[in-house]
Amino acid sequence: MEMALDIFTIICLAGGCFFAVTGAIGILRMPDFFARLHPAGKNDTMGVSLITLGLLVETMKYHYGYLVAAKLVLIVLFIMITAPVATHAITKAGFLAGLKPWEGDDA
Amino acid sequence: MLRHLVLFFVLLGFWVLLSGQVDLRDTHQLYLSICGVVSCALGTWLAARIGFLYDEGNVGRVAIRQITYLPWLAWQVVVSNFDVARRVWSFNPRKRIEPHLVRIPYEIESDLALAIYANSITLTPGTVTVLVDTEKKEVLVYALSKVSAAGLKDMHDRVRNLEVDR
Repeated sequence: MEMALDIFTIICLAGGCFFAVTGAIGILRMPDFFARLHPAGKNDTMGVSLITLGLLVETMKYHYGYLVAAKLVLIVLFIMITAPVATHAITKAGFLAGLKPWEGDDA
Repeated sequence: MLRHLVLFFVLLGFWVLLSGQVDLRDTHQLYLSICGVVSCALGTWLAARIGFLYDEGNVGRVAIRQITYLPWLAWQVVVSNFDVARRVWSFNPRKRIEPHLVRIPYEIESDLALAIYANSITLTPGTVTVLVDTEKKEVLVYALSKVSAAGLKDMHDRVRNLEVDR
């Protein structure tokens, strides 16, 4: 049973790291300001959620109690609420400043 | 007054959850608990002052309906995250994305549901809310691909079901 929990944790942590790295790589590979915000703002949310899910399983395994687990859930909840707001604020600032989205190399 | 009380106890529950200091026999914890009660009361008073309690409609009802909406949203986030990850890791990302701005009309009444809708759009990777035009009742969405923009109609209907009695 403990083995199964550990494997689940490892999968979650690895997946979380993968999405966090994807976010970072995405910032570098996307063509313009607006497109860069996609991986930056949101693959990170997914990464953090997965890592926290993995940690949640570990708190159950080591019997840290419900307070710690509840706090981990709250972290995910708040990141899910605040990350889109930040992304939206940056996008709106860029749009109002007159940046035009990239629409293909030949456009 | 009922709404004040509900908000107060929600805040208090949140405070207890975060602090865990509820052993009133211990002087230190008693002091912290009193601080918690005072700050929750202050929070309730401030929220009432900025009109949060009455202008936003029945927050509790929207919160209860979230129970079916949130799992669906979480699943959408997972699906679209894989979609964006695939585009990021593709050999030439410039050829794999078709970024464009679209105007999408909405029929949502309350501010809270509108905020949930705009936030949900931004939360699902592949779409970002750029502007919310309350006069024309449109959201300006920046989508990374044609596919990611197509799913927004379904999301709109689900958010509309969250608000008031229909």
